[in-house]
Order: sequence, then structure tokens, then C-alpha cells
Amino acid sequence: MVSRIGTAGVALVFAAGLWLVAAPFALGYQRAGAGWTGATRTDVIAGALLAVAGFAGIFAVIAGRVSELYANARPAASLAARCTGRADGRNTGS
Amino acid sequence: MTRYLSGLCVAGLGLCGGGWLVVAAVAFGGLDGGDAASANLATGAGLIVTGCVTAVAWAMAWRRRMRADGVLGERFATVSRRQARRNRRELTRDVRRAARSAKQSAREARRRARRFPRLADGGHAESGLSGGGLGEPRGWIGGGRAGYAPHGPARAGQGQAGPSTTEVLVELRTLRALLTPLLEAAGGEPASPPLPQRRPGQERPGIPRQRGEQAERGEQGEQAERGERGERAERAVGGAAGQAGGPIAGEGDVPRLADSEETWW
Repeated sequence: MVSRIGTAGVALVFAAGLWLVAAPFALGYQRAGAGWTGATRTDVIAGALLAVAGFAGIFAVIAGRVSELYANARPAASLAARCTGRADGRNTGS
Repeated sequence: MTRYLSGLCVAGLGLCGGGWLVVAAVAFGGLDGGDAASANLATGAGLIVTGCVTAVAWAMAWRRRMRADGVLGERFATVSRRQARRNRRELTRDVRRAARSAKQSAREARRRARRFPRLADGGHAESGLSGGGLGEPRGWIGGGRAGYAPHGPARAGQGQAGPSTTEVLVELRTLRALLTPLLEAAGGEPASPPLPQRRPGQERPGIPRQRGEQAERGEQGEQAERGERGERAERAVGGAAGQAGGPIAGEGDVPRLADSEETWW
């Protein structure tokens, strides 16, 4: 549950970055074809940074979770292989 | 670990970005800056809140994971002040009690060492006697305390009984049987035979040397004395050798041995 909240927070940061990049154009305080104002520049730069960081965070969270799943699955697989081998040996012996 | 760390990093970056947006809206655009300022302020505030929640969530998840892996120990249960005071008081009382009992036992050990210096010096082994010697009752040292039985196991509350007269006499008889042939071979004078039983009012017989001097007085007396002495010596040696299986020779020998003890020492 806590990890889900954290993942949602990282996704929110990514979404906030995207929103900051799109906000000047969406809200209309940056006219199309005109030079970028200070507010627009600040929003776009900050939004891009946050979006990149959010994306990297989401990627890292997903990658970490997958690697944990692999790490947990390795001993289980070896245990299952051992059990299967024993069962096969027992069947062959009998 | 990677995801916790990256989650915390992203949360930190979100906090920084939110803070920057708030500061930029206030510093550059002003509160009356229109849509841009309000959007920046709202986004910045939202980012700060999101960053805080995310950071707390990732920190909690990481701690939980570390506790599950055994890296972090279990938390101590929180104790109220009253309970803590009570625990402290009990601990102090226990320490005082332990110190008091240690002092008491040390005092007792000192007293015991003062009372029995041989035990403290280890002179017991040099005495050459088993137990506490002939005149010292065995097992009474320590008063039957548990774990303190230098002369064999003693019952709680009472010491072992001392050697009885019979045991002493048996030991004396054994010593006599062993030493008589040696004395005869060395000096030609046999060991003194047991003295006859005295009656009340009877004159005390002298020790063998005195009797030897008396024997020089006459030829006949000397011969008679020698014959009697040899006969007594033979009787004593034969009696000791023949009665080695039993605890004591007979009822009549006990007082005779007791009387002859003084000729030995």
C-alpha cells in the first residue's frame, strides 16, 4: 500500500511536469508565435525537469520491482527444480 | 533498494520544483500576475504536498522492508514516565540488594577465614592427617552449609559425626601392629605391651624404660621380666594380626588399648 502511494506520487510528479510544460499554452498566457515570456520559460524548464525526473522515477520504480520479483523467483525456481528432481528420482528408483 | 532510493530522489526533486514554482510566482510574477502566477502557485503547492507525501511513503516502505530483512531492529515499546520511574526504582533496589548480599557473603568468608586459618592457608594438605586430625571433629566446619563440605558430604543443618573411640582405637592398633616389628628389629627392645587394667587405688605402672631400670636390680627379676615382656609382645602382635578383619578385638581389649595409649605418646 505504501509503495503504491509512493509510485502514485512519482507519477504525479511526472504529470505535474507535463502540466507545467503545457500550462502556458493551455491557459493562454503565452501567445502562439510570440516570444516566450519569463513565466513561460520558467514553467517549461521546471516542467521539463520534473517530467524527466518523474519518468526516470517511474522507470526506476518499475525496474526495481521487476528485479525484486526476479530475485524472489530464483530461489523458488531452484527449490521447485530440486523437488522435481527428487520426485523424478523416486519415480525412477521405484 | 533501487526503487526506494529513486522514489525518494523524485520526491525530493518534486519538493524542490514546487518550491521553485512558488518562489517564482511570488518573486517574478507577483500575486496579481494573472493566470501564470496562479497556475504556478497552485502547481507549486500541489508539487510540495505531493513531494512530501511521496517522500514519507517511500521512507516508510523502505524502513518496513529493512525491518523485514533484519537490517533494522524491532522498535522498543514506548513506556510511560510513571512506568519508567517504577522500572528505575526496581532496578536500583535490585542492585542494592545484590550489593548487600555480596558484602554479607564477603564478610562471612572473611570471618570463616579468620576462624579457620588452616583452611585459608591451605595447610590442611600438609598436616598429613586425613580430615581434621584425630582430635578435630570431621564435617563440622561450615555448619552443614550447601556446597561447603571439606570432609565429605554433610547433611544440611548438622555436621558429620566425629570419629568414635572405636575408630581411634582401631587406628592405634593398626599402627602398633605395623610398628612393633620395626622397633624390635631396630633396638632389640620390643614395643611396650599393653598395660594391665588398673583398679581404683592401684599404683600406676611405670613406662617400659623405668621398668627396664627396675629390672636391673636382680637376676631373677630380670629373667622373669624378659619372659613376661616377650610373652606380652607376642600376644600383642598376634592379637593385632589375627583380629584385623573385625573392627575391634574384643570387649576386654578396648580398655587395655586405651590404657596403653599413653605409653605410645
